[in-house]
Amino acid sequence: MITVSHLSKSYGRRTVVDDLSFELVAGRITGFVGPNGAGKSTTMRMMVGLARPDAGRVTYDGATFAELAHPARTIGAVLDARAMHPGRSARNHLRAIAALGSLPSGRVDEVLHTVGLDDAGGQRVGGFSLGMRQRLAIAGALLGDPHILMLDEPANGLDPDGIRWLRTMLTDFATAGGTVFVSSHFIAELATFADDLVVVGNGRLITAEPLVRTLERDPGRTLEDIVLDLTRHTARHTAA
Amino acid sequence: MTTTLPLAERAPTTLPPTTAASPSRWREAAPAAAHSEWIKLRSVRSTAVFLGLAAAIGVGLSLILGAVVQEDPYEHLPFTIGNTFLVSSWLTTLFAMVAGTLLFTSEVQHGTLATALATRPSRPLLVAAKACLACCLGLAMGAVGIVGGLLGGMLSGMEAGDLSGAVSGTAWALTLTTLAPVIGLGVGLVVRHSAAAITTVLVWALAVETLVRGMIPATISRFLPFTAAHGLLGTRSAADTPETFAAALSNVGNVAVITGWAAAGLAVGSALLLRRDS
Repeated sequence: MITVSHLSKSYGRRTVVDDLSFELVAGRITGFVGPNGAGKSTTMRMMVGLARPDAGRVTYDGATFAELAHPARTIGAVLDARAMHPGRSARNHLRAIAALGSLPSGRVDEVLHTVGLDDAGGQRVGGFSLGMRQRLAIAGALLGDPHILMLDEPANGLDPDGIRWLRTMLTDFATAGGTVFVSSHFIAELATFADDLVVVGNGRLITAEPLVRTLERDPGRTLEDIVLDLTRHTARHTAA
Repeated sequence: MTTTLPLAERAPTTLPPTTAASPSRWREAAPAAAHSEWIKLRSVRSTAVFLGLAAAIGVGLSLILGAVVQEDPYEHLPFTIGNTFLVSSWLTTLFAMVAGTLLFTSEVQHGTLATALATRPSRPLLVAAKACLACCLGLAMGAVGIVGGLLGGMLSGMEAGDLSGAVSGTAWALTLTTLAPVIGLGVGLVVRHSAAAITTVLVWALAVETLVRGMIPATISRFLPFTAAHGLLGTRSAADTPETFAAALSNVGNVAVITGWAAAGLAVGSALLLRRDS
């Protein structure tokens, strides 16, 4: 169980995340949606200790991220698919993460195979497309064989085949008992595999509920339309 | 509105929480972090470039002194291998410092700092591992530069000269080049931006410190980092005066000054890293 409890974060006078609370449960895929500037990325960064909340906390079965005995074996996070040194090979990028997380180096080739980059392991990341970087970043998240996956916009740059691969991978991960938390602007795509939905706007929680319940709000309309309606006020507010 | 997801089956608590700073975690994590930094260091071209630069400077300076300049401008004696093989160490120190800044700033620039901290959420551990690898890189650059200096001297046909102080001179020079990247790492931790950090190091070394030296008493300027570096290498500069010679620190004192700058840089940089979001 991941519990996000009354999380708040401000940069200067601008409140980015405002008293945000929700829970994520094992075996389910939770979509995290909201307009640009809604606080999704900041929330995810706070969840893995990269940003310090002004208030509130995030716990994983009662422990904060910093208290986890084996963070890399617990959570695999992709917060920026471009976060890799362009001069380093894909294999060395993963080897460095594996070493830091005290993970067996044999996992490197396993995860390269899992994400379909077997043949690109020796290539420098600088020559990778965004889609290949996305796959490599996901490989890094899978290194520790974690039971939680946290992905920020993982479909960016993926081709249709890649998006299908991602959907299948996440579904299989959740079916095996893992927790998936995925932010995306591709709401229609998210509707095909998410179980739950957390909608935010202006840093505040708009709703956190099972996807079917969101769809029941306005039968006959698509999830995309419903979410856009839910966030319209906050999106307009953000733009202003 | 604050609704929460229904509580489905709860995931079992498989990992007992421990505190991040517990000694047992450091014992396990420190070698892992150092290994990771070693992989990073080995797998980028800039490491080979810096080592090649140190070698080229060592060989090149000795060749120029032996084959072109030939004579010491202060004492008007012919250059020998014994009094030239360490000449490149000052420039090696400067480049080692630049390499040290990049150990951290390139992580910020490419976003890999976040990946590292999401894998092992201990900022002090990361800084400690980088400081260890910075020392290794500086030591390697110093050694390569000195070997290059010896080779350049031999190639230029210089006499061997007095080699009685060669071992101790080499030891002090290697101490300097070993500590230099740690100062650079501290600058990188504070500045965070590659170009800005490199500029800070170069402008300080090549201009600001010389200006500052001219404005403050020698009893204070001897505590400046590059003044201490000059003292440790026994090199002279046009800014030297009888007062600066009289106020010069011992080699141990110069090492203490440089170690102090390295420690201060790491302390300030680590404190900022702990405060800042990554």
